[in-house]
Amino acid sequence: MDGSVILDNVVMRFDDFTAIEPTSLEIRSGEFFSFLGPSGCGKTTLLNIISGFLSPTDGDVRIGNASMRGVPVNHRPTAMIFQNLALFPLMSVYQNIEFGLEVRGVDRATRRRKADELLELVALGGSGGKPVSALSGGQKQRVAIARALAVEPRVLLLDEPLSALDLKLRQHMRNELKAIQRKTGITFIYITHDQGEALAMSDRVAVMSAGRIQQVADPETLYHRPQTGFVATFVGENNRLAGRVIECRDGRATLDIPGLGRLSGRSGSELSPGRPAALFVRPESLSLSDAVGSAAASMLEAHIETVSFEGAWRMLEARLIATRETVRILVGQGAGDVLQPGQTARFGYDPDNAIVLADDGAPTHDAEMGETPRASSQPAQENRHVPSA
Amino acid sequence: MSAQRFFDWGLRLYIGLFFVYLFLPLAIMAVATFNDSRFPTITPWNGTTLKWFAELWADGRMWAALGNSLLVAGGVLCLAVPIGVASALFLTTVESRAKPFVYGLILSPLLTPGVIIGISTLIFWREFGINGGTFLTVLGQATFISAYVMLMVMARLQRFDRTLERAALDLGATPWQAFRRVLLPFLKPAILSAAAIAFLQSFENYNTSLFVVGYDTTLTVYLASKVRTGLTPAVNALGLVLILITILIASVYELKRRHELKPKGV
Ligand SMILES: Nc1ncnc2c1ncn2[C@@H]1O[C@H](COP(=O)(O)OP(=O)(O)OP(=O)(O)O)[C@@H](O)[C@H]1O
Ligand SMILES: [Mg+2]
Repeated sequence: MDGSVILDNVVMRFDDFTAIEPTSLEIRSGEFFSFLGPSGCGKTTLLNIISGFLSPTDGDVRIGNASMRGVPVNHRPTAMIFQNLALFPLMSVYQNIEFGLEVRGVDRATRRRKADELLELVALGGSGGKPVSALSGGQKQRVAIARALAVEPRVLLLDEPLSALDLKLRQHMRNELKAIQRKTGITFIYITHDQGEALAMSDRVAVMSAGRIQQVADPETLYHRPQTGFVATFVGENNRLAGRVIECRDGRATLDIPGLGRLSGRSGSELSPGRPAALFVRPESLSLSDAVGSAAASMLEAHIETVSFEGAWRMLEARLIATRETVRILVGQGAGDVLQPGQTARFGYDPDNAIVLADDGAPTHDAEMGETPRASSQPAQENRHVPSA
Repeated sequence: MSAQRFFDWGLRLYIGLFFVYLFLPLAIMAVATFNDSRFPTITPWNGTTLKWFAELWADGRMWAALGNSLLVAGGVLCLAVPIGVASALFLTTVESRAKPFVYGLILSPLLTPGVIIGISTLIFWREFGINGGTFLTVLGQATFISAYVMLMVMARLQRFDRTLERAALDLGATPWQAFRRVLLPFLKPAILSAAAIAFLQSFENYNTSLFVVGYDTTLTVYLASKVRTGLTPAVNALGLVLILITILIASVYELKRRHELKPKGV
């Protein structure tokens, strides 16, 4: 059963607004693939193109290597889990799950057997007779999954299915979804604006911004080797320092940053001397200068403004003395104890833990959102990746 | 404290007066049925009798008119409900520039006096050699009753979550299956109450029917004609019978509803 999905130069325009710029992409059979991007970047539109609710202005979708051009929604080997679940409110759990089989003319006994199997799979055994209105949020979620799996799709499309759940349940359902995907071997295409969700569950993630795919990679690569400024700031937290390329060699790039002088990091994209570029340092890669201790470390002097306690870590918000820019620094308990708002401190980073990316004028995530680096949004908090090294 | 009590008493008094206002005429009408008087009245009381029921039973033309009213109401149901539902579906689901036109077209009979609808129906169909009768009564009434049905169904349709339909299609249903299994069950309560309203509207209609009934007199038109020739308490007897039937239907409905509301074992 080939559940691969190929987007071949797909374009979607609504009147004169281009929702999806030309996009080509191959999603492998049996993969857990996520589209990650801020609200309005075109994720749902792309999913609707795959499921057949929208036909692309141009280009083709191939599922299992068969072109989907002209194939209507009800004949595609996909099943969708909707943002609001869309369970049929007047039907029982059984009727919901059996709906797809019933319209295919499957007999009653087979339907019921299948429904019971699926209810077992989603850990809802014995709830088949309940009306859907009697279920909790998490249970509804499971029924929606069982209903979609009942039609044996080759590709399961999930449009932010967890966004309505509370934090605990969301984390629980993440693991469950992942487990179901492994057990069934179905291709999952998952849409979310929550980077934590995408990174935790996916084999690969496509980061989208304004109708364009910025980077497709596995979560580790996205986090450690972003290719664009947008990815660097959208996936995890990052401090961005903009300047101009001075030199570029042996995978290292050195920038001249106004007010801060020469700073270097790994070069992460095509760079040429004289061009604008930005250095990205994650909050956990910055540390108090005496802790760095190496001559290779680059130094920044900053005025601490706030210190927030986050369990084992403290997040500092500090203003660079030279440029008045805000940076965020994550420090361990020992170091954090001595730091107070109002103090001035020197921070350093190991250039191997910073990355330099060309500044092509495209908006970074932060600029787009009109915020200083990293608003204290829930997903960012909950999923900070702190390298153990 | 006393202000609260004053308010409570005031409210009770108001409700009491309201019910008296509502039901006193019905009560007087019912009692008058049993008065042995040539006119439908309770004063003077000339003695108790059941003869008006006998007279009602013997009034063949009245029964024919009642039968015809029911026939017309049935015909109106068959015409107005599909038209109303279809136009509601069209106006809420189809993207079309014809929308405001269709909306206006369906609603305009509601704004037109019933008399005008009756007369124009008659004049229009006469061109085709069709004269007043059951057929034209059904057509004339259905023109404006469809609008009631449409408004009621539309109100419910606007609360329908369209993603349910998409979910059905996504699960492999044909558009017809999605309609029948998902949208129609959702609309059912609205369609049923619209049908009930349509039936009553048709049954009690007078001013449109008056012009188009021809020889197929409906109950309302027949009763009105009797006002001229002299009304006897037989009319009250009919009223009483209709009230009793209504109460019976309402009770059965209510009992059934309560039965359904009871929690069932899962
Ligand atoms: N039918 C349509 N007509 C015109 N514009 C549309 C239509 N559907 C979507 N758009 C536009 O396309 C863009 C992408 O919309 P889409 O729903 O795909 O966003 P999204 O990434 O799913 O966002 P969210 O996370 O908020 O769900 C938006 O700017 C939206 O306004
Ligand atoms: Mg969306």
